[in-house]
Amino acid sequence: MRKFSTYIMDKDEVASSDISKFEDNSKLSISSLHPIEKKILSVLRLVEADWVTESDLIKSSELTVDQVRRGVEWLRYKDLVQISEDTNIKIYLHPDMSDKEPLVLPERKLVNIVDKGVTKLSEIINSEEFNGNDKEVFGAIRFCKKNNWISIIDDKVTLLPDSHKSSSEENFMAKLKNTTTALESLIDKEDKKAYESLKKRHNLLVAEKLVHKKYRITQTSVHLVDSLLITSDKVVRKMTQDVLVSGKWRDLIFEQIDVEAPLPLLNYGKKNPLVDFIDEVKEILVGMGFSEIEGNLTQSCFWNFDALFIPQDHPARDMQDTFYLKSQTDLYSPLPKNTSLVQHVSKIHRENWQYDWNIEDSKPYVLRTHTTPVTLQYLSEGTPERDKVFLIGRVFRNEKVTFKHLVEFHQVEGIYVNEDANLRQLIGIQSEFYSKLGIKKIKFWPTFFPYTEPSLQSMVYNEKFDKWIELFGMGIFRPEVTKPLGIKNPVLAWGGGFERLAMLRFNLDDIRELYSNNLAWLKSVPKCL
Amino acid sequence: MPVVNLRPSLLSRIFPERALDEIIEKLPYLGLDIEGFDKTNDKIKIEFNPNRPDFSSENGIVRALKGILNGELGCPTIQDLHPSSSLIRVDGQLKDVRPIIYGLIAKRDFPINDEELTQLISMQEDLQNGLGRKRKKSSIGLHNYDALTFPLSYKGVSRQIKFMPLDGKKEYSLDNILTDFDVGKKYGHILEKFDIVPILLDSKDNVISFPPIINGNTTKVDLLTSNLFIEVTSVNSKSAKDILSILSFELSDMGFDLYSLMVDSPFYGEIVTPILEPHRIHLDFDYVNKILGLKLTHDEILVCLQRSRCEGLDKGKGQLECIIPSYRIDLFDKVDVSEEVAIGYGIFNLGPLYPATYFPGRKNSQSIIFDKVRDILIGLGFMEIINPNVISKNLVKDVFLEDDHSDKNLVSLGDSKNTEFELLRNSLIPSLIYTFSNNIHEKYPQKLFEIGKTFSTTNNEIRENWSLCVSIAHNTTDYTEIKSNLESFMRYCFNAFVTTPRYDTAYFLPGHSARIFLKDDVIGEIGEIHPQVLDNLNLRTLITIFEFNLSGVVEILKLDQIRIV
Repeated sequence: MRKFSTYIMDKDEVASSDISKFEDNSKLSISSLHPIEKKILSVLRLVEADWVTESDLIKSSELTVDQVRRGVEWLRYKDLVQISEDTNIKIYLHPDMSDKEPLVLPERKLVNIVDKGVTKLSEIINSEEFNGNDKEVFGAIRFCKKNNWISIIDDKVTLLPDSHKSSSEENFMAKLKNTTTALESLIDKEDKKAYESLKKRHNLLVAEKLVHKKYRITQTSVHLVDSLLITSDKVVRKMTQDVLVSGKWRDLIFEQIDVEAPLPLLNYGKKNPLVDFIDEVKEILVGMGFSEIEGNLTQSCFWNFDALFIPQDHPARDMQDTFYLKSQTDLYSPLPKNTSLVQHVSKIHRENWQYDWNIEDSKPYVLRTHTTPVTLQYLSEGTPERDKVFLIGRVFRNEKVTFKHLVEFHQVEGIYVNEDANLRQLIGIQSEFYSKLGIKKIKFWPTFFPYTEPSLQSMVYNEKFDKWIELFGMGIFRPEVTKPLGIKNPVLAWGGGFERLAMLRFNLDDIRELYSNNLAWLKSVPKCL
Repeated sequence: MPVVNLRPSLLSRIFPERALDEIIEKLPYLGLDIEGFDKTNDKIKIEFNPNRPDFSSENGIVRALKGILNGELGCPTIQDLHPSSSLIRVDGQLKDVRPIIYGLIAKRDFPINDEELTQLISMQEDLQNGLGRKRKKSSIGLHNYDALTFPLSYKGVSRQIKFMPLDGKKEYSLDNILTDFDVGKKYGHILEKFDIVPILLDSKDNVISFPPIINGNTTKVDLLTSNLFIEVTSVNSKSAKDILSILSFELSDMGFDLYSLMVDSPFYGEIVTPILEPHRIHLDFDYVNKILGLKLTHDEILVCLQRSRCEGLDKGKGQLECIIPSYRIDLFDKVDVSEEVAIGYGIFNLGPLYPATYFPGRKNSQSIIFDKVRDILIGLGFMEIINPNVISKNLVKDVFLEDDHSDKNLVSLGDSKNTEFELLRNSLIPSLIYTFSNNIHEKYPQKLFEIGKTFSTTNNEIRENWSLCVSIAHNTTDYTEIKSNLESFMRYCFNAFVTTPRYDTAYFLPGHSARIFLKDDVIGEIGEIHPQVLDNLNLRTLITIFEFNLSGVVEILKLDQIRIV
């Protein structure tokens, strides 16, 4: 017989957590045993289908009490083992009695006193033996009468013939004195009656309840257990290369393994959930005919603000909101090579806002506050008459980080240029995009952006939160923006923060979670959501 | 965005035939955001866009609501603008300081009440902050007209002049006010480069205002005041005109009779203010329909404009002349007129249209390449992380073991509100190691990668590159393991071979690091992270890493073009 201890013993945590799996044991197909189970069954099987007590099992299996109890519990769920609980009562003399020599019950004491000639009740009570304890005397009288030992007329006690016979109580007590203990299940009828009577009386006997567990293999499962316990040189647990190559497998029986126990999860490679979601949205936009563009995160004030018709004294340009960049050497961004573009923008600012536009204020580098400067450069380079492009990229705001504000986040932006492009088409494009994201209820409100007119903001209804959420802004680029770029046709533009969508998607309340790089979270987001 | 409080009780009073909910529902369709509704205090908190300073008062919002609720159509008018002989003389010395002053007089038979005064002061603040650019461009003074005598004199004076400022107990010099008063400290910078500063005197030489800082105490407006004098001083005549227009309509709505006054200026001659002429924009009716995607008749367009509190004239031959009240400072182009038509028409009435022109959409080649890069790394068992581009100086110091930022090529942020964001990263290595340090309780091995931008400067300009950083953390990782990953990646992703000549850097274990060469170019570095770095970040696990310039690799291998076959 192979030694069980060669199997891994520390696996029992895994199995113990999974008992629920076996609850519907009628349909269970048992194909494997835990080493603990195997040890228990081997011991039980030695006595065929007879009961084995817990202590015997512990002794024979060399398992601990806990292991045995746990293993038996699993086997019971699998309906391989039955448990029986024997209860018994161990009876022995109360220490007060066992010390007495000879052992005399109060009723016998009374008989002995009367026998000596003390017959008056008051005298009996005050006798040396009873020492004024009238309760004990009356108790003794009750049992004497029951035994038919005495009669009392007035206050005089007279012994009857039976008083010389010993009572069943006395017999039982005498036996206990000899054997020290008795088990309730083993005593005869007469003794049982005595025991019932004695146990009601104070400080005569001690009755200790005993519980004995015993186990046996379920009768109907004996064959199954046999097959699970097959062990011999012909039985192996694992297939090995040696077994395969040598051809030994032809003569071997393979032990059944636990095919159901859950196992630890593996580490895995995966795309970042936010990147994955960005890709999904890109696919939607590509499907709607948008092509992707890309551009720098560092931009000149010219492209980030001036070209968007944002005056140089506009509050959005404050250090408060925008990150200006510096270095140990001076930094200044190259303005567009197309000088007429710069002149045109300058002229439009001077005329419309009536201030002295300063080219020096256009040169500082900023971290882009939106993706629109990239779109503008794209339009300026290609001056398309019709086009449909998008980008999803990082933007920056000099804000305090909170659960709903990040310093750095993503923006999605798209434009549609065409001769007949109009506001209702913009509403259409936006509705189609939202519908592809699964958002059905939307509404549009007028709003303001410095570089679009008309301008709208979209509100989408979120069923999970049962409320309207502000999502993307949109509008038609103002002629003050498009003319200097050389674009003649209307440009429909829409866009906004991407993380808002991502928070809905990943069910997050705190936007910071997206960038926390908490590996537990990254692993917990399923690929298909 | 600026905020204004609106009383629901006022709305119910003005629109008795409408349910309150119905009125409130219309507010967003005027471009107003409802921030809160406090029924018990009779208050709706509303955010308005900065292009609509006329919404900085209840009356301004009611004016617009009347249009879309069909209560009143067309341009609001001012009952009467009475001429007056009141005069303000402007001193030539103010040419560079604050040359412009406009004003008006508003009279009423009964004094201003608490609610009105609160509204006026809150409006004054909004206008000074927005259109007035925090008083730099324009500022407003409200005065008790009966406490001053015309003609007024707007003069440049030295800072030694003394007067009793609003709510002051005694006289202070202008200099004192600039250095000691809160408003002086807050707005004094506007005057700091000038020797002389502006004051407004009445005919008895009482200082009634020290613009743009504080008013004099003599003309203080209180609940006994029923006649007002309002002045706007400015460095920009359009800003002054706009602000005074908005205030004129507000005061007229409050039931004041307005009186103009004359400004005699050495810069622009004699001018009568306020200037409330409506402005006009000419456009084609067709343009409106084209830009909105509608087919409205001329008459329908004219009604839409009226509902937006403008007027339209059909000039024939498809020509539309739009007449715009002077307080609507946000309308100056035909696109603005089109939006007014849309708002008058009701944005909710604009159904979606779907453009029919076909465009073949596609991802750009860079996205496509990066996707393939991700695929290979995921196949090699790496998990993608993303980190901010802006990082802290301390992290760079801890990882690169540099005490001073001797690297002159680093780009830093001016005035960040968060100390963890101070620099644009020039390598992904610090953020990646930081990520490991935040996940010390997670299961090892940890294998991470990031694709991100790195920044450096050359010749005063910033260069941006995409970079790839790949790293392994577990107790036995070593140079062999990370290099095996590098070579596998280059081979499987690009069919490219790299060489790795020995190169020591402070943050790698000496003798266990190299530079990565692709063809003849250095593209990156690889090695075992120095124990000092691990110690700095309380890491108790070994880390190996490689990083290279992904944009450079794309360029060297000429991948930047989509080749399907």
